[in-house]
Amino acid sequence: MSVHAVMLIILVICLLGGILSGLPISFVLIAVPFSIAVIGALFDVFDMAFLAAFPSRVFGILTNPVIISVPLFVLMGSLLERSDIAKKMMLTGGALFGKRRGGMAYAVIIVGALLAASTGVIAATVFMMGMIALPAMMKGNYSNRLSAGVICASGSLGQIIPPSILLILLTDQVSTAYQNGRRAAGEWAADPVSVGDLFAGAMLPGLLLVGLYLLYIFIVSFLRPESCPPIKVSQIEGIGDKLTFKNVVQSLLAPLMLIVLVLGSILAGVATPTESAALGAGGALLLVGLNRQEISKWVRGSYIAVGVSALVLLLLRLTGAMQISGDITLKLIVASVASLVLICGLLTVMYQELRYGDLFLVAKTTATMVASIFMIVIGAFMLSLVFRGLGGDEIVAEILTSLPGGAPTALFAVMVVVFFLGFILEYIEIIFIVVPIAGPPLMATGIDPVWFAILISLNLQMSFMTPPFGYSLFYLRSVAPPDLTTLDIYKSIIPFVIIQLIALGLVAAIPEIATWLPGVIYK
Amino acid sequence: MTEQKGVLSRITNGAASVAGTAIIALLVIQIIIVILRYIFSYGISWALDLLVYLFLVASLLPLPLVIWENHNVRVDIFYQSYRPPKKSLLDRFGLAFLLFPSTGYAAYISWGPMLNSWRLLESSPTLDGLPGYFLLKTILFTSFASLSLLSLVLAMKRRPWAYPDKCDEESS
Repeated sequence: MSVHAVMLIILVICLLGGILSGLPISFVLIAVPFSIAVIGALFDVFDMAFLAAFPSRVFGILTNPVIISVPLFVLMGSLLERSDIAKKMMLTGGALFGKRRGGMAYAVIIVGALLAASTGVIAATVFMMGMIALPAMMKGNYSNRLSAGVICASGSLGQIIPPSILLILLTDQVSTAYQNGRRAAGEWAADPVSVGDLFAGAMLPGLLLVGLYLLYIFIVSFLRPESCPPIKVSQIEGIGDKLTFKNVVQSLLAPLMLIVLVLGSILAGVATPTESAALGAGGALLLVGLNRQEISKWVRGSYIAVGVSALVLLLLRLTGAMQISGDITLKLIVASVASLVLICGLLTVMYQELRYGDLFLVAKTTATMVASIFMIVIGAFMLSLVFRGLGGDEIVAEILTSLPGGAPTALFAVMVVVFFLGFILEYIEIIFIVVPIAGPPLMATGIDPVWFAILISLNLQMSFMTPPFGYSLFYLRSVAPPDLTTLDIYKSIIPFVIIQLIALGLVAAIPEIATWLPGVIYK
Repeated sequence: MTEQKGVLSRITNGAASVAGTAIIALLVIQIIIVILRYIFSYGISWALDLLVYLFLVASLLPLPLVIWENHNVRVDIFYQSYRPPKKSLLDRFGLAFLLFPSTGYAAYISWGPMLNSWRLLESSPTLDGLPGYFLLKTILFTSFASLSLLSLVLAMKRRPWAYPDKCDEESS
């Protein structure tokens, strides 16, 4: 065995040990590879010149236009989280479906999917469901395991259903891996993969997963009806017996419009993800503003005017864009007035929320969250540079290409590795470490990048649900009552992980589930 | 020592507040750009650069606060059972022997590219891009350097961070 191989093994062992020791993951990711590099340099087996690319790699990701949408999507999610919209949706959903067998579980899945498409914040979704749906289900004599499992699983949907931060970060890495891989295979002009491709690719697999969850509940409600009895609306705390049409429209319409606005504009190929994210965050801010009780009639009027003028602008846009330098037409005047109203209204809601709300705190927290994501990304860059410097990528490529059975086996092997890494690592590390290393050799064999990305993200979604480091399980644990034991939560997730594996298997067997929609939309 | 902590708290929090402002600016400016572009077909060549600049500020400036206030992600399956003395020992080791040298080296290798950028007064590589690219590289260098310094300062404290732990009472 060569010195390099030995050092690679030491690197991997030290990384795992460091991460398990409880030191911050970002410290371990940046410092352990660095220390190995220094030791290697002392013994003349590592060239420190490999690390010279480090600042430009970090700078490259920080100036990458694709990634700019991340803070705006995080902001949108945090705003919606504070606007009580999620809570209202859950209450309405529970009241709508609760009366039938398994109804509350259906409500959790459907609301989980809607929240995934609007906020995508897993922690917030699981917290909210743990505090509203779980007590209602426990009071209604649902089996503990079914309730906990369905909440953790539905809460994790935000990873796969677009817009998701995971898919945005994955886009950049998969696109680079694809171009490197195709270049190695002799194809020089491979098209880059866009966020829109991945969002479109994730739609059907996401819906498939939702469908499978619903099917599972349907089967359970027949086989073991006692585990998910009907629930009286009055058992759901926070909602009266009144379930009016107006209530339903109010709590579902606003978030649905946001979803259509954001996803629609990206999937239609009209707007870039950053543009859609900004519109979504603006809309979310408006909803937060409208939700505030103590605003004057004028302020409320200006908020509604923003919505109206947005609609006017949308209609004008559908009849064709205009030139600012062209003739002054009625259309141009209307558009200018509507734009002014919209911007003034947005500035008003911003002023109101900065002055009386906690918009500034939300923005600061958003920035801090993005920074801590980047701290880990920076560490992952250091790791992949050292890994490359030790010849690790060649070794991995060699192993992958020498596996019997060719590309399918290699892909399967990568999936197994990702699955097990998911037990101890977060999705960010896995994306930035595994994809650049294992991606190019796989792409060189002609594997479709969108299909590969969707398989990875379905796989990574499981990492949120697998103990000991499944974040959804953590989140639920922290809000669940003590008589729901941790072991119960761990066991509760098993059927859903199996469903997830089935979905992964289906997408692996029928790549069209992932590749059909992007092909239709973007070709 | 307490006064020093006060100063550093204020600086790290201040930097994060600037980042928060950058996020709000990012939102407003992107919406204005969308309206100009899609309604009035008016594109501004440096608009994307402006967003990139704000984004870089928003994602780098809170880094010192992440370290200072311990917003670090950990796998705490064993860590959560440690008592505060053991936690602080582990953290001080990590700060002094892991984070300090590695971010110090990152600052060291960012120094050259930054100087070069200043020498050229580099502007954004996009066509008709914004000037001031060298400032972004300065922010990158400063982030690494401040992480390195902060980790040294924290490592010198007996308790780098307050550990919200029931058994912390004996540590007075």
